Amino acid sequence: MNLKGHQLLFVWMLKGASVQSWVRWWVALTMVAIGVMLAVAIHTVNHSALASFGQALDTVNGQASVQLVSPSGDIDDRQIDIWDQRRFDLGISAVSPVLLVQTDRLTVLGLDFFKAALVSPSLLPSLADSSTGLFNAKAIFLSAAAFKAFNVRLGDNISLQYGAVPVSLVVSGEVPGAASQVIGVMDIGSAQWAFNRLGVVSRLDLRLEEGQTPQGLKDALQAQSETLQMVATQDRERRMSLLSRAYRVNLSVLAMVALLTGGFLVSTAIHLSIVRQRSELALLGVLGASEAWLRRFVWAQGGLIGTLGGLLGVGMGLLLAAVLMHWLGGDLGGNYFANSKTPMVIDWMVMALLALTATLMGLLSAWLPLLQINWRQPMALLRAGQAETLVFRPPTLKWSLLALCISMVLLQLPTLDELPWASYGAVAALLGSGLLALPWVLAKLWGKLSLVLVHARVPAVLRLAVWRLAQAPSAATPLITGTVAAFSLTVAMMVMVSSFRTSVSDWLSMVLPADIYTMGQSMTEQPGFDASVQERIASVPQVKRVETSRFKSLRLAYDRPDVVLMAKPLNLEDPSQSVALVGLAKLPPKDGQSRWVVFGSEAMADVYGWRAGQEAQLPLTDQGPQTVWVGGLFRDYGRQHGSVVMSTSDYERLSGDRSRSGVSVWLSRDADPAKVMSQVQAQAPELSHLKWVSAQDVRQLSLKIFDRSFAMTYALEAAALFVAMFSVAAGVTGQLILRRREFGVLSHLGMSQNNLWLLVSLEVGLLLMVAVVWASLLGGLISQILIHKVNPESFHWTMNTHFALEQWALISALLLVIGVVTARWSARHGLDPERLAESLRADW
Amino acid sequence: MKNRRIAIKTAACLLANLSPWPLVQAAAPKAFYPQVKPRRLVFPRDHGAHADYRTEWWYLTGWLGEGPSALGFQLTFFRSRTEHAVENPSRLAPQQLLFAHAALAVAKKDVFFSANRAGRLNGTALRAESADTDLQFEDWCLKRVQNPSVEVYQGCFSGNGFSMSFEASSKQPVILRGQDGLSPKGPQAQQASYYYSRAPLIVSAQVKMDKQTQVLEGKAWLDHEWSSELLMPGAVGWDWLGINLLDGGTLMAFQIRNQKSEPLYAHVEARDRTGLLLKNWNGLKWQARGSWRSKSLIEYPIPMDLVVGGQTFRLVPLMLAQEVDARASTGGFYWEGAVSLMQDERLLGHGYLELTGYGAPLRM
Repeated sequence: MNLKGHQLLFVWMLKGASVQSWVRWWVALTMVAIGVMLAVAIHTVNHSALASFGQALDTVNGQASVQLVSPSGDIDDRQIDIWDQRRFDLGISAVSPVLLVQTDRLTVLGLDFFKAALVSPSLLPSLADSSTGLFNAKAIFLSAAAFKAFNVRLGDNISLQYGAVPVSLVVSGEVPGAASQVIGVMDIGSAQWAFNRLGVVSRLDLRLEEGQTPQGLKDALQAQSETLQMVATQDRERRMSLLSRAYRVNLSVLAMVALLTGGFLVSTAIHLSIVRQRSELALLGVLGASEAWLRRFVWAQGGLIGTLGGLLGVGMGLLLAAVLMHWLGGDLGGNYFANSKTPMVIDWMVMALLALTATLMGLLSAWLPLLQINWRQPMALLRAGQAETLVFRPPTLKWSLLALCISMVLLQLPTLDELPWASYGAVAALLGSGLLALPWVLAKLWGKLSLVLVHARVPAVLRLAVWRLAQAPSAATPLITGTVAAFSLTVAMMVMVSSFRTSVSDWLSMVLPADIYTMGQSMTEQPGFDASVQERIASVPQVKRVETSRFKSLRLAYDRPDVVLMAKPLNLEDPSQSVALVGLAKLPPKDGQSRWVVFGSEAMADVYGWRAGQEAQLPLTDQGPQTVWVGGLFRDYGRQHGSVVMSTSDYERLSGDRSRSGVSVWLSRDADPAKVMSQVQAQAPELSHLKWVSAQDVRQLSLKIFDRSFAMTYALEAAALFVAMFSVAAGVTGQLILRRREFGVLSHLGMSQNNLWLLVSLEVGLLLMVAVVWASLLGGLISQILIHKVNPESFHWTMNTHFALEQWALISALLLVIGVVTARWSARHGLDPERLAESLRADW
Repeated sequence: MKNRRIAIKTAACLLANLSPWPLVQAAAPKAFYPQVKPRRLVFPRDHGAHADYRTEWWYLTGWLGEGPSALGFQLTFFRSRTEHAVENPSRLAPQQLLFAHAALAVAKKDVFFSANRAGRLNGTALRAESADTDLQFEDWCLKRVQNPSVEVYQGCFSGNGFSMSFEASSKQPVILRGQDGLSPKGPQAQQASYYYSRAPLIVSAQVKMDKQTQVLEGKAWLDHEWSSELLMPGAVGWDWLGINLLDGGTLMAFQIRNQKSEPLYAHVEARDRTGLLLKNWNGLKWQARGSWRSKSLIEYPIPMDLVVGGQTFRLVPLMLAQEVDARASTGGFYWEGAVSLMQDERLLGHGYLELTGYGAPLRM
């Protein structure tokens, strides 16, 4: 490399800066890397999961551009002929009926192969020579992935559980167009018979004539007030993306927070680096280095740390993504995609963008210290004792108040595109406001404290510490700003998570009154069992009470995830016994009119505008929506996209469906659950395939899933604490350098080495105490925004605030102790007694 | 894009297996399909569908117009019974499938229109009635109507850029093939089909091409055949021929070929205008006089000669490109075209020639 003199100097000084304080550089770089890593990992895992989930959906949908679905799930198969006749008027070239059957371990698609050949040819099977024939009633065709998953060969029998009955089928060929997804394809008539779904299909896939558009068809159907819903590809994509979007966005915001805190550290590190190099920089300035050159030098430091951190972060993030996907699955523990074994899909554009963000962050971090250097008077810097001029000029209170106002305004704003962007903004503004107010708070506090101490009898070191803090508030602010920022976020997340966890735990006790349950979720898409099961189970000794329920998916909007309908025995006199009501129940007036009373989860209010005590529409039958009375809203942490509860008898009368999909059993006090379970299974053999669990297990499992989904948050809390610690250590070191002469004087005046260390520890301890208190206050406020705005807006559920005081005390104490110990350690290493006296002479 | 191509290829492969022609080698239990046994055909019942039998077709071909502007057309309905369990109560149970092919050969413009359909018989938009010939595939139809004076076949079909409806009337009695309608298709007794023809039919048609409608007249031919087993072991395809002779007589011949294009089984039936059997065509041999390679890269032996008793007759196609792409319905390619029967330069009659199993053996 051929460098000119000043370029060489530039590189040489950069190297000097990095070697001199390599630990700080390394830590700052690591923090930036952690931010980028989290963002990269979250993005990559989600991207992979969505890609594979999307692929799975695409496979199941066979690339049909337009589909017709029924809100209640099933379409009468006589509709096929009707739609075949309407084809010409509506610009549809082919109608392909599909029966979708979710068995226990395989999604089976029943197709009319002739129609599918026109609409979704990728789903067509290929027939093997030795097979039993395409139209054999028992023939099923598997994708390559399904062949592998079940370890079967052509001609093998495969048994699938659907509802209460196992269905035995013969593997008769492959589905070449759906190689990577675990699906099976059958003739639609065979599937209707095999799975006892006679007379219904799940959807009608359409191919449009050239010239007809999905929107054109939608308009035409709307004009004819069609009861079937039309779903276009983009609706399907939206539906899929909505499934986990709020969760994803929340995680991404967390990653951005990590990146920002990383920025804080870069800023601290560069600040320190400038402090260390101030003499060199000033000298260079005096010698004629242009201001631009010096600025570039500082920018370069920030840019370098940011870039290196970004690159490291991308690498670490991809590694973390691989680990997370292996251990937590594609949904980061959020339980959105069932059993997703997903291959990693890397979006390099986004990776480059995140790395670039890190570089920008580095440059931005350099900008803050740069603001504080008075370039006009380099000579002033050369003189010792001018340290304070290098330090941050405290902002006045008005900026803090302005930020507070912005925060308040943002809190009033609604969600944007169903995401709580304004609330996130409010959190940021509130945090900024708290940080900007810090110098003012410190100045007021230390001023008051020093006045108080004048008349009190306290050790000299303490007096000295308080006075010093009161005299130089601007020095203390940067020392703890990072700490306050990091700790307030930690407290906010801690309060939010503990509130959430406590609320979930309370809710679980509320919704799990019985002793043992069947795992009902898997039965939602399956036919239920006979209600008579209830009496048979009730006859088992030591069974006190039995309740059966029916779960079913409803599609209320064509582009939204399904809502779960739960039919169970309800006591309409006192509904709070059966559902976890939020607010009061508003039952219909007793005016002699009979109304169907239902209860909706909070999501029903947010997404579908349900209000307690008003009427709403619910598509329970093929004949179109039914008017129901919303008797109240309840909390449902299990189903983010909405759920509805109605009494079993109403459900039966409305839908005609008398089957059940779940059983809850109350035991007498001294019963052995395992023994009763086996007796129940003997009594009701049709339930033998169902998983029985005790309320205890459900509870534990739910909380485990909860903790897993917050694993990222916990990791970030730890990272934030780490930032707090580091900024204390970095700040103290910087102070020691700047105040070497001050300590020299104190030492000269006879202060012992120990007392000097004590002084530093005391100052830091006092500062940290204020930081902890201020950050806890700030964190508490932020947690309220998270609890009352961000959560309801993202997930459509509310929770009760719960302050985890023990946890808070623990991490506060941890921060204080580690901070003080770090300060003492830094002081011990930074204050060389031999050289303290020298520093007094070092006045050029 | 690639997926789509694979998918289409798959669709083609899949449907290639759905041929309505029965497969001798099939491991189907013998009892599943009824065997073809000698019996008296009863009309009009036997004009209708015979749902128990494995396969059945109604095949109507004809020439319209005169000289160089003549058109050839064919409309075929295939019914196929699968081995799907008869107990399945589902409305969509695929026990009976219906396929339909149609083509229009316009020699003057050198255009060959064709279309095909496939689906399961559901009794509404897809029907094959058993009481009489009454077939429907959505907007395609073929129906026999018995008027006091004359019986008429009404048909209609359409495709991309063409549509046609016609009435074909017959004054001749039914021509029963083989032994009173039982036509042997191999040396074994069960290798046979029920088979009768209606020829000649006087046809008048409305043909719509490129938004122009013409009314045309001509002669047509209907075959109705049903069976449970048709191809003998070793057979890869067949050639079939049906000619309305200018003198009012008819000539029908077929041969079943093996891998080496040697005839395994052959039959010829010539009748005069009164329906009386003529012996002079017996011993007829099929001889390729040239070969023509289609777009699907299959070589067909056209033009073809018929040799009998030292005399040579030529089969001159109305046009060469009359290959039917049936990959999306009954499977594979075959040549199905309007031909003229000539002796030297003398025209003897018009009809249709069918050449199957030349690309790949008829895998059924």
